[in-house]
Amino acid sequence: MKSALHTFVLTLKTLFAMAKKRWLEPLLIIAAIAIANAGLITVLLINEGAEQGELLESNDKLFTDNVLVPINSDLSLTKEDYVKARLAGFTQLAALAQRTVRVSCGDTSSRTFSVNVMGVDTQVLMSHFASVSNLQNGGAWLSTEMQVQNNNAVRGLMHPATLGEIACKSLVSSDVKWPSSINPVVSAAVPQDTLVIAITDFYRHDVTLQNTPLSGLLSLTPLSSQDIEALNSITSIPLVKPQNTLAQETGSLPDSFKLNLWAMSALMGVVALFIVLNALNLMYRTRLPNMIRLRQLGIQSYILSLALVTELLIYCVFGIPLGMIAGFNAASWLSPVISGTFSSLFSAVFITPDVNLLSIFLFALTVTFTSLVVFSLLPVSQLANALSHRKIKQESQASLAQAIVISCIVLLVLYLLSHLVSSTTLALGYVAALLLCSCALVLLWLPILTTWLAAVTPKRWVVLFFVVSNMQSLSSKSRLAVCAFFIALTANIGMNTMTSSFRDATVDWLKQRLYAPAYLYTDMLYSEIVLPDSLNATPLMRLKATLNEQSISVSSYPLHTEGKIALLLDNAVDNAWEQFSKGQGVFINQQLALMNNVRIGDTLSLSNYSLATNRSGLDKNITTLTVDSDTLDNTLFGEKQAWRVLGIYPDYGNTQGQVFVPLPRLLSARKENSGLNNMLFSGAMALYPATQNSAYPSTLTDSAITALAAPFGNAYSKTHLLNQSLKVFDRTFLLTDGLNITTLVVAGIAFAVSLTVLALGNAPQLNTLRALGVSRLQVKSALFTQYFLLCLVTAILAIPFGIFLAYVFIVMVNRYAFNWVYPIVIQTDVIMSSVMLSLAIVSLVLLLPLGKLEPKVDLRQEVQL
Amino acid sequence: MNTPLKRVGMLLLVATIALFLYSWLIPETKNTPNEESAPLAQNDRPRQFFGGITAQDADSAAQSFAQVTQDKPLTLPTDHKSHPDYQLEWWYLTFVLEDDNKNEYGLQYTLFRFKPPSSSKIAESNWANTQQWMGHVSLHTNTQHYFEERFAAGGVGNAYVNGSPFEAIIDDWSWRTSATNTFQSMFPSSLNLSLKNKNASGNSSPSPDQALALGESVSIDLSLDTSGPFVKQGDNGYSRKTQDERLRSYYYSQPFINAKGNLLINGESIGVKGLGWFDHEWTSHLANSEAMGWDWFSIHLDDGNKVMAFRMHSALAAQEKEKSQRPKTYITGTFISKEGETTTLDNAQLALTPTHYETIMTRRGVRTMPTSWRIAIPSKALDVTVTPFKDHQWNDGFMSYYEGRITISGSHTGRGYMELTGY
Repeated sequence: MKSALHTFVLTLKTLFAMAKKRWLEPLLIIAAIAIANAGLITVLLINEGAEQGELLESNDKLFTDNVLVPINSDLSLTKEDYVKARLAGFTQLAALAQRTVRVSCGDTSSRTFSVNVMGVDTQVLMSHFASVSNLQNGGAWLSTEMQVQNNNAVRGLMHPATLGEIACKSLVSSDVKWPSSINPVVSAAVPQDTLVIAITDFYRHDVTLQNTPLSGLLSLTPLSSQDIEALNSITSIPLVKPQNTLAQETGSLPDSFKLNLWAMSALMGVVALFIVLNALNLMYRTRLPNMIRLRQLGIQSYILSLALVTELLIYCVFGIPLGMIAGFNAASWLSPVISGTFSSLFSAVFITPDVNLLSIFLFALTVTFTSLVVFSLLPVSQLANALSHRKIKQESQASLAQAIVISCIVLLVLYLLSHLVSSTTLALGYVAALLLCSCALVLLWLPILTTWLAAVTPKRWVVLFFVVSNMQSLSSKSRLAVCAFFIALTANIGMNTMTSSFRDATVDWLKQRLYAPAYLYTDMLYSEIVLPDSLNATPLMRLKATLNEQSISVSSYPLHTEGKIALLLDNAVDNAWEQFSKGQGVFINQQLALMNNVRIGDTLSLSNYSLATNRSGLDKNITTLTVDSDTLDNTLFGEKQAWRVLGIYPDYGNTQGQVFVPLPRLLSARKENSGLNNMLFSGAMALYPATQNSAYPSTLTDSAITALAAPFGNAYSKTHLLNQSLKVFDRTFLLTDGLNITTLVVAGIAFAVSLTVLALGNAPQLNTLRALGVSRLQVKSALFTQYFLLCLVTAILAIPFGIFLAYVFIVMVNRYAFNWVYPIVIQTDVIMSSVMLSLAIVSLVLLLPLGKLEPKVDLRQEVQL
Repeated sequence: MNTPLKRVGMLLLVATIALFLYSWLIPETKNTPNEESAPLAQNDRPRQFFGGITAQDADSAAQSFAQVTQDKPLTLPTDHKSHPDYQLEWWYLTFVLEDDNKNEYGLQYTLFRFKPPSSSKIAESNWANTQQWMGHVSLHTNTQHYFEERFAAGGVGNAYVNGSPFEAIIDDWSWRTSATNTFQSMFPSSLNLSLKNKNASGNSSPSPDQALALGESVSIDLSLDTSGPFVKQGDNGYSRKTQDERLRSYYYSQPFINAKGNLLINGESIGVKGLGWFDHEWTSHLANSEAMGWDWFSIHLDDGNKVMAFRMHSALAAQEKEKSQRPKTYITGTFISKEGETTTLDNAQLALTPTHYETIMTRRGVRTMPTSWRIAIPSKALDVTVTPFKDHQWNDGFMSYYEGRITISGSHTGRGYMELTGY
């Protein structure tokens, strides 16, 4: 036992002596481990941040979702009502007051902005934030609320996106009633375009409870209907929860974003593993002669393996902290960007993750070391075998015919496997299978292509011939690096193609669907909205129903020409629009069709219709009215509505199933039904200029329309909505783009560095070239050209697989994860940008001191493997 | 030749990496002193308690608020009311209760009032006045600690103290004159407190061991009466906290409270009775950088006598800058006979000696404080040991401090409450 230990120690010392002699390979391994861990930790932290942000989601919606307002806007909530509620034990309620104030930057008063100033009883927030140990958002107040404000400035919270847009450190209110200077603090918990301040600061100067009554009560915890009932028995006026129309529009982009992030981390993991294994493989190759000597000296193979693994562990211990530091820095550099991006319109907060460094280190060490040991068992055992007997090695290369047959078989298997995909998990599994198969095919085709290239290169051009031939030799020695680079590039092309296709589909769909020049979002009752004669409006009516135990929405769709043009259908029966207009059928969204396997011509059997709306101003007794099918036909639809599916339309971003019925079916013209109209009204309305009334101009500008509708709620022009949507989209995928490029950079650098190390073995050839009179610059160029060529060949192979991967993402992953598919759009510039980027990264090799290689090589050490 | 040099270099490299890793991986380490023997100076230096509210020193604070002076003595029952011109005030009730099965409970209800220094540049708020209220309720059973903290702005109407009829209110926590109390004085009165976790995302109180699970509730209803007079502490209610009187307050107590009522803990009704102690104190000379915290004891001896013992930690402004400087301590106390006769005790007559330190993991880090004491009053032949009723009686709130039930043994036996602030 003691002698075994002694032998182990001696072997380890020998290994370190070898490492010292050829220090570049161990350094490469440490660098590879560091790069891999940097990538892994960046992705891990970003994911962790997103997860933690999600936990705080309830706080994020604090100022929007948990508000109680007077049932009628004419009624005012008093301070006495609030005090009564608190004294009765409703200690989760905080008084809320709001008004719009114009503010300008403290330094330059030229630019002014309109913000919704929200005064909240921060005393209640102090108790709340102190008690839930969440000082992230309330901490700013906790620490300062009880201290004297020396500079007389009002302290307020602002959303990072709003503050970013305003871009100033301090604000000044130009409001005559409220002349204040404001020190904004960033908090993702508050809504955009809003300044949340203490209510004591809100009611200063000339702002009083008489001229600005309380707008409502903020509940820090969800209130049940019984709670609201009990509260209403205390307050002088009834309070209700207003419907938040914007909250419904958020869709499932965060889900899609998260899936993208996890796909990226999995990809990063694979790429990282490949590059470290590649480095390991390189080192073991160069050590083989000495290993043989060690075996000849009688050292048992298990001791040798153990020593190699121990050496690897030591490299991990050095490499991982470096990677961690780089990863932490990268994540914190990305985090403000992410924070602004992620929290702006997703109703989910991204926070700087609160992580335990030690546990992350141990996690990274365990994952890296375990996977390395497991995956390096093969090269180690190969090494061990190579020590005892030496096979006469034959360069085995598949013939062209063999390659074609194998490729056909692999593609056939992939095709057959694609039919088995029936869930998100299987779809992701298919992505993995596709990447593995494509790797195998690349390894199969790369030597054939390089051999062919070598064969067609004239031998009289010495340098070129050397370049091509050496590239062939390199390709066989750097298989793992090629694989890592290939996977990263394929995934990059695939994801970019998917994202650009999604963007194109969304833009087309939005452009067509937003048929009116402007839209109004309001909390008012339908009957209260009396627009000027110069405007025409089409309301969106909505009721809820159940299909196969899933909640879906039944929405109105206008029958006018603009509506007809705007409706983009993926699939429809003949004369679909005519039948739809007559109530002989409905249109459904893609999500409903895919979730329930509904096809054209099927008849939906909806149940549990309900007018589930809790919009303010409605009679409390009818807000949750459930209607039966007969009432629906007799009162709402006027006549029996057929539920046959006439067409399927795309509806990106919506997670719920949706059915379109003709607008007249949900909008009663009869006066006695105005109550029903109020309940069905979703709060959204399309606006156009009236063309019938000659007293007004037939065309109005978008801004004129929004200005006319402004008194009734938030009016936005079509262009504004379109821009906002695309802004959200681009912000979301900006981050995944960043990660995508990171993966490519990691793989590219690792690829280039490993090629460089391999080139060290080419010193004799380089010497010969120099002896033939080739200049140092030419040698350097020759080396660069071979890397470049190898990269180019890999990239050319990656393009078809990348496009196929995009197709798989769209028709399988999106289909099962989000229930939507969209047409794939192959954009040359997207693909070329990925390829060019990878070539640019490999060009970085030029920066390495290749030309200064000292070709002093002990040929006795070189063993041909 | 250069091998030793290389070794030194390698050693330096390893040491640097190790140091770097250490600083990365262990960003915050706390010194944990020897529990048994850690004297105060070696221990965590007492942190400012109310002193954390403002950065003012005693002199500048004194200029902004009404002063505590000996020539303006406190008068009862007038001074049960709130004194809004003073910077700081509290009404402090502590109870040692028992149920029929001899299970012991500790209960605290405190209402704090703060007044920030006036700033003429800020327009007055039309919502609230400048007063700030903070309420604490803490209930200890043998195994559980329920604690909740509330804040309210003055002048809104949901937090206030009335002198007559007496009311000390913050939201639905109320201590008010009983309906049968025709004199509308402080006693007899009723105390109604409720703690409920309505929070879906967190706890009603911060530390896990103080948590009410979602839907859990505690409700306390006690009737309070007295069997002895109010006691003016110090010099007829003028209480010195330091030798030079820079730190001082108005301070009186009612140590003869008899409490009886019900605790409703998660639906289980428990009949309890026991003794209570009320302190009312107001000052403009404690919320400053010199007041570092204090140790306070209210003791109900089984023979009917009562003891109040107090040790103030103070730092002079100049000394405060020297971090290693040990804060000055000032000891004072009152021996109250069962008839209500008082004897004010000074440093020479009252000995307060920590005998055991407890380390508590709080939300703000590890805190070590003396939770076992020896209290001796030779003139009264009293030499007792104070031990905590249980471990970890820490109120982990915005202002965190130790407040817990104690057991008295030695020459006398009894029960009481201990408060340790500034740790």
